[in-house]
Order: sequence, then structure tokens, then C-alpha cells
Amino acid sequence: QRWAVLLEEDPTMSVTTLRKKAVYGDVCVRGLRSVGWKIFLEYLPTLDCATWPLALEKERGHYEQLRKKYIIDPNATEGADNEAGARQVSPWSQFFQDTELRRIIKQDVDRTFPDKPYFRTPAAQERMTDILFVYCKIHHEVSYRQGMHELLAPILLVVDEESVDAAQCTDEKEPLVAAQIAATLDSRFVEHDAFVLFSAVMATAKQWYEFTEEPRPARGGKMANSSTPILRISHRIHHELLKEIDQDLYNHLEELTIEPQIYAIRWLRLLFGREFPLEDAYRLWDALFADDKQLGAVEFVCISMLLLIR
Amino acid sequence: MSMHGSSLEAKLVILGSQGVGKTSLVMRYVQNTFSPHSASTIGASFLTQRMQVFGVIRRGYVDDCRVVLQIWDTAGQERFRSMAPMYYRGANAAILVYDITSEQSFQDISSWVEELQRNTGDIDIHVVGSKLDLAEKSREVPQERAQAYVRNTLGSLHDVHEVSAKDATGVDELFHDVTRSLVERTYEIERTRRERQAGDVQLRDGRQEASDQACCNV
Repeated sequence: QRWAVLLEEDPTMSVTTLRKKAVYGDVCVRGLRSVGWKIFLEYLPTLDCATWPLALEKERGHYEQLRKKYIIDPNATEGADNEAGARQVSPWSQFFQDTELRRIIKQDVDRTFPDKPYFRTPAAQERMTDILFVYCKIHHEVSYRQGMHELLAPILLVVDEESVDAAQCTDEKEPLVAAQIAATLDSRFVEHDAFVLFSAVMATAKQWYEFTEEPRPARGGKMANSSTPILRISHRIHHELLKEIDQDLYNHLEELTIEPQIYAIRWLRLLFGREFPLEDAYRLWDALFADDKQLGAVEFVCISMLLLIR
Repeated sequence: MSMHGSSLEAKLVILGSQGVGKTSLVMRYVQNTFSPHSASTIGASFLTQRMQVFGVIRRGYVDDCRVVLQIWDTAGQERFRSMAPMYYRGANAAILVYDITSEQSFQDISSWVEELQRNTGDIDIHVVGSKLDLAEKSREVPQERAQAYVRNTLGSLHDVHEVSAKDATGVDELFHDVTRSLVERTYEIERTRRERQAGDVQLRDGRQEASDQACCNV
């Protein structure tokens, strides 16, 4: 069975121990990566799979509601009319705004990982567009920014590839546990689960997409107190961490006047997804998620990459 | 922009709305390839291309010039929340791309022109309509209109370029024109500076004489 690994784990294993193990790369093996991510990103609350059905039901139900609420048909006027009255927006004007948002999202979805056939299928594209659309509707402050699609894509691919037809999955020795794990990988909820995991990653990644209008930062110094987080983080990576760790490389980049956000924007917004082949990016994500739900290690990954490129 | 004898290094930034084909244009030029699905650019990507411009007049002689073009290919969406200045800062030339099958993308050009004219010294602006291969089927922006706009906004010596990255129409010519224009402008700036310096020297000499005289009067 593909989940034998988890079942055979030491029953006293704690999440903390599992996280530590996963950082070194032997937990999120093929077939169980999505389960690992669900645990590390705290979608599943504990290692005890008896606690899973409740969490799954809650989050999947939540997404189902959001989907119903935001993916509206303007012709279905009843109810929508009342709600629109309260918001002072006609359902049609809302519909046109939404159509525009979907168009912008779709433009990137269509060209997600051009060399992966999975992302050329209408089903996958439709799912991605819906997930990103719903996410944007509940996060007006950032809405859709280019790059989010490539944070979602690897998540959706893993969840979909590992999904199973829950009805077909039984195990004579441990029927209950088998049922619970099957429920976690249930193919009917691929979109729901991808949304939950994507949202969990975005809880941290969102700030890398935010931009605050401000007087144009001068080269060098000022960005330390920029109100745009990505500029602040880039500044810290370069002027604090790199300077401390490798003065020569720091001086060299300074001489070339290479501003750190020039590279850091892509590294961070895509969580290094374009810097490695997908399989390697997955292993990096395993470690990042396992290490800290808030992805605290990313700045150090940036430093390692700089040292490596040196 | 720096010049060493007859070679020149210049920064060229590519701007325009999301999905108009900025990356495809650059890829056609630099690698002579085209793929119908190229991944969205995140932030910006950077390429260098070396080329040679023949037969430019410099100091009264016909000259050839080696050019290293540093190409900054930007993400279309950066326009809205304005990360853009970071990318066009210090650029010598800008290619503004719209999609001839999208009226909206053409409308967006004017705000780019205004922004560049407001925030940069004297950047050399070129307006480019992409996806020319789709002209028959789905053109939305007539060439005459684009041409009139370009002449009005940038001056009568400017032309709109229509290109297709897919079948390579006009791409080499575009980059060649951009580069030639860069070289000519650089020589022009160089000439003006030389003339001004010559003027400064004469002026200084004049003052010198004046103060000498003043000295004699004491």
C-alpha cells in the first residue's frame, strides 16, 4: 500500500519529529507528498488520522461555499439581486468585473508550465482559474498578481496525481485507517484541497506580491523602511545577510549595481519554482513547508543560491 | 550608456500589457525561436545581444559600431502597481509593445509613453505592434491609426513597427533600427557635448582676457 510508510511510523512520532525528518527529505515520498504538505501546512491538525475527517470536511465545505458564492451566474437573479442591492453593485456590473478578472487569470493559466501536458488540459486549466478566482475574491487587497498561478500549479499537480478513488480503497487489516487515508486523497476533492494548500502557502507568500505606491526608492539605503514588503525583504537579504556572510560577493554585486529585488522577486514569488526542475523544486518545498509553515527559511535559501551561483 | 571607441553598451527595456508577446519578440530576436506557449514573465528577465551597426557618420567619417544590447524583458502586469520604474531606470531605449488584435493593449501604450517621458531623461521610444500574422483574421488596431499616433506623439521621424514573432516578420529589422537609432543618438550627444566644450573653452579664454585687463587697470 502506498501509505504503508505513514502507518508503519513509530506510533509515538510527533509532528515535530516528522517535520525534522522531512527537512532531510525522506517523508514526502511519491504518493504521500500531498499528505505531508497537508500536515506541515496544518490543514490536517495531528498525525492521528482519526482527527482528519473532521478537518477535511470543514475546509472542503468552506471552499464549496466560497465557490457557490463567488462563481455566480448573473442570470440566476433571485437572491443575487438582494445581495447586490446591499452592495450597490448590479449583478451585471459585478459579472463584467469578474469576467475581466477571470480573463487576466486565464491568460497566465493558459501558459502555465508549457512543457507539462497536464496543464494543457481544459480540466486542469478550469480548476486553476476557479481556485485563483475564488482566492482573489476573498483577498481584494492583492487580487491576482502574475506568478500566483505558478505557486498553485505544482500544488494542484501533486494533489491530483496522488488522488484516489475513495470507493476503491480498502484494506482488510486496517479498514478504518485505510478509509481515512483514502478520504484524505479523495479524487472528488482535488480542487478543494489544492485551494486549501494554496491558501496556506499564500498566507506567507501574499506579502511578496503586495506593492504600495510610494516615492520611488533611491538606490541602496532607503529601502530598509520601504512599505513594500518584497523590497524590504530583498534589502535585508542583500544588505544584511549577504553582507555578513560573503562580503566579497556583496561588494561585487554592489559594484555592478545589481539591486537585490531584481532576482528576489522571481525567486520568492514563485518560491524558487523556476530556478529548479520541478522534481527538485518539490523537494525544496517539502523542506520549506516542513521546517516552518510560515516558510521562514526562504531568505536563507536565497543566500545559498547566491553563494552557489558565485 | 558607455562608448569605447566604436563600441557601445546600452540598456533596452521592453514594456507593454500582459500577453502581448514581449518575451516571444525577444526570444525570436535573440534565439530565433518561437513557442506558442511561453511562460509568463515574473518580474523581469535579462538577456544580452551583441550586434554591429554599419555605416554611421561619426566626426565626419563613416563608422561601424559594435553594440552590446542589454535587454530587460518585463512582466506585463507590473504596470498596475508600478514596479516598472525599477526596470526602466537607466534605460537608453524602450520598446513599447501592443498586440494588433487587442485595442486595449494599444490604448495602454499612451500611458506608457507619458510615464516614460515624465520619469526618464531622453529615452528613445519605439512603438511596436505584435502578432502581425493574425492581421487578416483578427486585427483590431489599423496600422494607419497606430502610425498617426506614433507620429503625433513621438515626432514625424518615427514609425510604428508591425512584427510577428511567430513567422519572424520585421523582428530583425526592428532591433536593427532600435540599435542604429541608439548609436546615432549617442554620436549626436557626443557631438553636442564636444561643441559645448569647445564653446566653454572660448568663453573661459574670453574671461581670462577680461581679468587680465582688469588687472592692468589696477
